[in-house]
Amino acid sequence: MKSKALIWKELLDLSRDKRTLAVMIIIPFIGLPAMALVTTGLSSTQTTTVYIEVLDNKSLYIAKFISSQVMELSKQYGLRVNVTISNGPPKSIYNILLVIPKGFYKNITYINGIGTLYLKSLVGSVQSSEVKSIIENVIGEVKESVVVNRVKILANKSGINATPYNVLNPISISSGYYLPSGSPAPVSQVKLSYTARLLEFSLFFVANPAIILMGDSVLGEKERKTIETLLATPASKTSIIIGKLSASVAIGLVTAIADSAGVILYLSMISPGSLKLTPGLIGVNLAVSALLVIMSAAIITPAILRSSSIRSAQSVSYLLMMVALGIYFSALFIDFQRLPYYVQGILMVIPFTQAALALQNFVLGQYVLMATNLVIMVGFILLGIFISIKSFNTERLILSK
Amino acid sequence: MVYIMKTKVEVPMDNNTDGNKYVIDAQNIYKKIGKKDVLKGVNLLVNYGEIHVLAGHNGAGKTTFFRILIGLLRYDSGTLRVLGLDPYKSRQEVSKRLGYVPEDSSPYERLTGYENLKVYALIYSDGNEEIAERYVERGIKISGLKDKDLSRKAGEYSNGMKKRLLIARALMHSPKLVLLDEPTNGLDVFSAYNIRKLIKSMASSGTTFLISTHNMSEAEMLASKVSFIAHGLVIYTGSVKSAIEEFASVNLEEAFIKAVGERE
Repeated sequence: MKSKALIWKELLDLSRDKRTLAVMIIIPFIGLPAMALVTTGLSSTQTTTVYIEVLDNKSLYIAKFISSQVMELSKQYGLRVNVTISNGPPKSIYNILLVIPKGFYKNITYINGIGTLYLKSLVGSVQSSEVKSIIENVIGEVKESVVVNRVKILANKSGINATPYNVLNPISISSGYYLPSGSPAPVSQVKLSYTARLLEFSLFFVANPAIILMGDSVLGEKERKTIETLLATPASKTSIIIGKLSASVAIGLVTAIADSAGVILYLSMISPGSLKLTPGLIGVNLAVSALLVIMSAAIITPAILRSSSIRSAQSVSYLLMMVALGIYFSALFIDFQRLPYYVQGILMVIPFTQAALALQNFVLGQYVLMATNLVIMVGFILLGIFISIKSFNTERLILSK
Repeated sequence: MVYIMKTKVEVPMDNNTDGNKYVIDAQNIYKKIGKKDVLKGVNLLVNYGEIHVLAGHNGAGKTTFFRILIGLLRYDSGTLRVLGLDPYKSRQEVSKRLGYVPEDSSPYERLTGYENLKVYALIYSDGNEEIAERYVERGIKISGLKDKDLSRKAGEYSNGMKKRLLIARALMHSPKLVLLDEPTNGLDVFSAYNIRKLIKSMASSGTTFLISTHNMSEAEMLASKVSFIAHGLVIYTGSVKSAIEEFASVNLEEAFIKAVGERE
């Protein structure tokens, strides 16, 4: 019952620290989507300029074909492109230069000739590289049509009945996806898996607030000179820890949801249509996030209780957050299950890994493994609380400077 | 704001001594912090119902001794009984019947005065809302704070109001023993006067006080018994009058200086 009073006190105290809460909730929730809006907004207003210099009169129609295709494809990708075709050198700076030299047409229409194109892009422009890649694709189409014509000519000359497409594509690949259980997976599963990876990355933002709040809750009392009277009350060590943990977790959950939502909004705005959220994934993400918030607060508590000041607690918290960042950033690129066993062994003892694995296992349909990850997280929570109670030393708390 | 308390606080007290002869029975208490011997064999007996002032200079070991009495610090050797129990081993049991205001402490500044009282009332009543409400009512009476002050955040209070709130919070559950570490330190004349008046009023209702101070005039005003502590040792215990007589002094300050001088 003493815990109830302490939870009430902690909730009141933490919820009235408006500035900290604003930094924790409003900045990620509003700031990240706003940042995405600015990025996408600015990106959509910038124009990539392409200059096609045609030095071979017979190739003018090829230049026009490339121009129209590039304009159309760029529009599909939401890119603004301006293409200029001329027979002289450019008079200003363009993002991309394509030069069709003299004799190009003659070379590509000759059965054994090679026509060379000169494609250059301005250094340091992100959008240029995207448009350059579109131009290369269009040139690929031109190349294919030249090859098809050459095959037709050769087939006619040799009197062989051959379909040019088959000659050029002797191997057909029928690709697909499957789950670890062996059952086939739809293409949408790939999107779901990609979304899960982004959610794993966003777990970093989920873990943070509880770590910071727990530090403030314990050592803030010391710095605000309220700890000594609290320790002189009949409140037990357990009820003090549970009270502080519960309040940090409650507010940590609210901030975690806001932060996580901010990250998801940000990601979906900068790459629209690439995410797939299902009720199951949202539910599992919420459960994982809730456990992660509790676990983060529980595992930082023993370290906070051993810290002498908020500053030293912040150093420990920073270290822990770096570990979390390392794990969740790696989750974007690494399949933990595919790592060598000794590396997996090391990663498994890092509590944060379990949260990332739970999400990965869910999207792969490995529900037993996912449940195991969640149970291990609960284990880490209990271990954290147990060590906190055992290492709660009033003398250290009072005397440390 | 200058505020003089006019009413005497009537708080019914339980004078049951639980069969213990002394509220505090400290024998030969030693405590080393880091490399420093802070307490070098403190002996102190405090009777039920008295205002016992522990007077000493800064760094004499008063705060460390208080923290040991509450069970926050472990003593290295000696025997100690507070309300009949070893406070380090039975911190929770002892703290139920004890009130404590450290020298350098503050209420929860983001909580209102009322909420400050309510949180501690719920802790002392083990979550019993009815009992907690009674404690809060008593705390409000003791603090002398007005309704509009109680609904303000404690961070907006003056030092004197904060101290009154802290003392009320330590007294509202009718503890048998109250430890006040330098209760008027840093307060203006009016606030200090009010605090002393409050202590006397509560003591007349039967509460035992152990008060530490380096202010000898205050010790003289409050103490029914005084102990001098210097360099980690209690060097004298007796009434104010007998201290003045024993050291052939005009007041307690001179008696203290002579007592300490004799030891050095």
